[in-house]
Amino acid sequence: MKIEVKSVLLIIFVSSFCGITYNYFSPTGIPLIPEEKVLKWADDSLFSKGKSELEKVSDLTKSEKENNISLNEERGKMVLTEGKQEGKPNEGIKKKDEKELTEPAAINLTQAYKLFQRNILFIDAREPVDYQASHIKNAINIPFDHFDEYKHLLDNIDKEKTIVTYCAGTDCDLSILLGNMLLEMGYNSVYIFFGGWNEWLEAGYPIEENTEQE
Amino acid sequence: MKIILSNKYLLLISRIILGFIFIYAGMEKISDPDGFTRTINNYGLLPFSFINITALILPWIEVTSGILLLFGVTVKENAFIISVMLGIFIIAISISLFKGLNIDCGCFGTASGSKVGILKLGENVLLILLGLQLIYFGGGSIKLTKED
Repeated sequence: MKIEVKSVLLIIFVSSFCGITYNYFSPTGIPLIPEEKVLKWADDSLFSKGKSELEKVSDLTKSEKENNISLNEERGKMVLTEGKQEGKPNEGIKKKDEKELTEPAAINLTQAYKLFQRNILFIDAREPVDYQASHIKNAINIPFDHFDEYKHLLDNIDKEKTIVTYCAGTDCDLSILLGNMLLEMGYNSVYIFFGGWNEWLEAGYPIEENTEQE
Repeated sequence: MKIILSNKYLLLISRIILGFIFIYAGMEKISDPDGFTRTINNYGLLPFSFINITALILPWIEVTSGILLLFGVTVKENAFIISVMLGIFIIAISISLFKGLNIDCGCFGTASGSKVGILKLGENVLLILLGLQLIYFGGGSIKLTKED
């Protein structure tokens, strides 16, 4: 006995019709075609407003030289000074000049670097293997694919703190997914560094490499 | 072997198992369409714009085929649909295993929380064997419709 293609098609067609009709009337219905989540790019004004404050902060950190690490940038254009104090002195300033976000905004390399200079927490959403090999300096690792296992890392992070997520580059969406997740969890200042690891590495900004071999 | 496999009671049992599992799995997914879209998205195999429509249609096909299988209406056709779906699931799970993804299987909706793994692959292979048996031998004589 052969399979009747007509019956197969009928079953599929009727089921599909039922499914779509049910969804239309269902209170938990979803749109047929998902809305493309367009990444909102953060406004430069968001950062520039606090620029003078930022300079003040960097003066402040400069004065505490014993903790500072100077890094020669690969391009040799600037010398970066960076404090180890977890960005505590500029915490208050941050709150003032950054609006609350309803969805994570994407930021580009320059903006990311500005935030980096302000000791803002970077979260690496890539796989632990990639993270261990090398990552943005002072970033922590919360791989989105294993979110539940790494969730505890967020326990002692203040919800008011600004967070930047990143993954490999423009092709990956782990940073976006993680950003949305963090926002859902109540963090209200989440940014996505969309260029990600690749851009950061190309620009020659500070990284941390696996030093276990030393 | 052929005689055993085509035994009408055995065919009825296969129909009940397959039908019941698919009705249950489908209903779980219908109750939480949003969760199911996320599950499909996690697999990362479907283009973005097809995800919602798949999440809406697939569980209904599962339920319909399950019910028809249970009552013995157009058994071969329904067994065929179910086997094709199981085949797709097997491929999806295999790819996820290969990629090393640690994601929700979503086999019985998101509530069950079972992860993709070798065990899931085994379950699906067993079910597809039942499906193939029904395609090959039909539903047996215990059914609603008259012998055709």
